[in-house]
Amino acid sequence: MNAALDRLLDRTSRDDDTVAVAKLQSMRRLVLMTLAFEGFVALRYVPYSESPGLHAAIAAALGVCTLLGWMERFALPAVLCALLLELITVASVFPHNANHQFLAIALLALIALAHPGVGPGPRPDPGDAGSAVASMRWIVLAGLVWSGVMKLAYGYWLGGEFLSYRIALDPGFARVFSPIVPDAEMARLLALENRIGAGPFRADAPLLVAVSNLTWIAEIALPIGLLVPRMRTFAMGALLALMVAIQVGARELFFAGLMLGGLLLFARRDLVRRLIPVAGVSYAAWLLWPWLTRAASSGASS
Amino acid sequence: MRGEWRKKTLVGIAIAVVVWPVIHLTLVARAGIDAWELFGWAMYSQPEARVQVRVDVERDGVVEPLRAMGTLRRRIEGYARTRSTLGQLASPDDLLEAIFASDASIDAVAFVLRRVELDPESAMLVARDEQVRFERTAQNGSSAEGLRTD
Repeated sequence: MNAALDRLLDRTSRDDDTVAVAKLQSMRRLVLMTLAFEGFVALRYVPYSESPGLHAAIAAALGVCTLLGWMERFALPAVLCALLLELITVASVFPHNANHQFLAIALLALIALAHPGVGPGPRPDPGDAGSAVASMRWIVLAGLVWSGVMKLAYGYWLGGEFLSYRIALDPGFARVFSPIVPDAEMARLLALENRIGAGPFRADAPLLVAVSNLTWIAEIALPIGLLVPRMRTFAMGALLALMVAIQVGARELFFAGLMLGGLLLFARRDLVRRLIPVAGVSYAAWLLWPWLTRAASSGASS
Repeated sequence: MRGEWRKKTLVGIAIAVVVWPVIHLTLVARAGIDAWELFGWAMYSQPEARVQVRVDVERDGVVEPLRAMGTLRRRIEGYARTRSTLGQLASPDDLLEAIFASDASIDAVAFVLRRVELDPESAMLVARDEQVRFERTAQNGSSAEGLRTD
C-alpha cells in the first residue's frame, strides 16, 4: 500500500529533501499571501461588501497569518489559522465562492499536514514535505486536464461558440482576440446583443476556431506531458505560457497565482520562491487599481 | 516520516480534489448547478448560468405579479443569484416565508424561473422557463385559517 502510494506520488517527479522542504515553504508563503490580498480585494464585491466588518477583520487576520507564516517558528499556527479563516469565509458567502478559495483550502490542508509541530525550528518533515508537494502537483495536473475535459464535454469550444460569446459581450476578450479575428467577423460579433434570440455566437474565423480547439487540446495533452520526465520541462513551460495567455483575457489573478505556483512545483529547483515577489507586486497593483486609475484620471483632467 | 497516516491523508485530500469534478459534472447535469461554480474546474467551459426569477402571487384565485420593494426585492434577487449557482439545490423556503409573511391575503406563490443560456446546437441565446407553485402552509408562516395544501 505504502509502496504504491510512493510510486503514485513520484509519478509527478521526485524532489530531494532540501528541495521539497524549500518548495513547501515557498508555496506556504505564496498561498498565505494570495489569501491575504484576496481578502482585501474581495471587500469591493458582493457578497463580501454586504458584511464589510466581518470580511475586513478576516482579511486583516489573514494578513497577520501571512506575516507570521513567513517565519518557520509560527508556520503551523499561521497555516491552521488561515485555513480556519478561509473555511469561515467560504461558509459565510456560500454558494457565491471563488473557485480558488477551495483550491487554497486544499493546499493549506496539505501544507499543514507536512508541518509536524510548533516551536523553535520545526521545519517541515522532509518526507511529508515531499508527499505534500507531490500531492499539490497531482491537484494542479488533474485540474488542468479537467479544464480541458470540461470544455470538450460542454461543447462550446468545438466551434468557437464560447469565445464568440465572450468576444461579443466582454470588451476585454474582444481586445485580446482582435488580432486573429477579421474585422467583418469582429463587427458581426460586437453587434450581437445580450438578449434572448441573439446569435448565432459561432466563430467563422478559422484562426479563432483553431485557437478554441487548441486550448482544450493543450489543457489535456500538456499536463500528461508533465508525467513524462523527458517532456516535463517543455510541458511546464508551455503550460505556464498558456496560463499567462489565458489570464490576459480571464483576469483571474488569484487563481492564476496559485496555479502558476503549482506548475512551478514541477521544476527541479524551487522556482516558486521567484514567483512570490512577482505575485506580490501584481496583487498589490490589483488591490490599489481603483485608486491608481482614479489618480491617473484626475491627473489627466487637471 | 512522522506517521503513515499523514501520507495517506495527504493523498486522500489530493484524490478528493481530483475526483470531485466527476460529482460536479453530475450535479450540473442533474441539478442544474452552474458549471462555473463550486470548484468543478469548468470555468469558461460554457457561459455562466443566468436565472431570472419572476414572482406571481395568488389572492382569491386571482394571479398577479408581486410588486416587491426594499428587503423583499433584495431577497428575490438573492434567490435568483443562488438559483443561478445551485440550480434545483437552492432552497426557496426563506423567500417563501418572507413573501407569505409580507401579506396575509396571499394564498399561493408561483416562481417563474427563466434560465438564459447559449444553445449548443444553434449557438443562439435562448430562454428555458420553469414554473413552480407553492401554496400557503403552516411551515411557511401562515395562520391556521389560511392553510391550503396540495
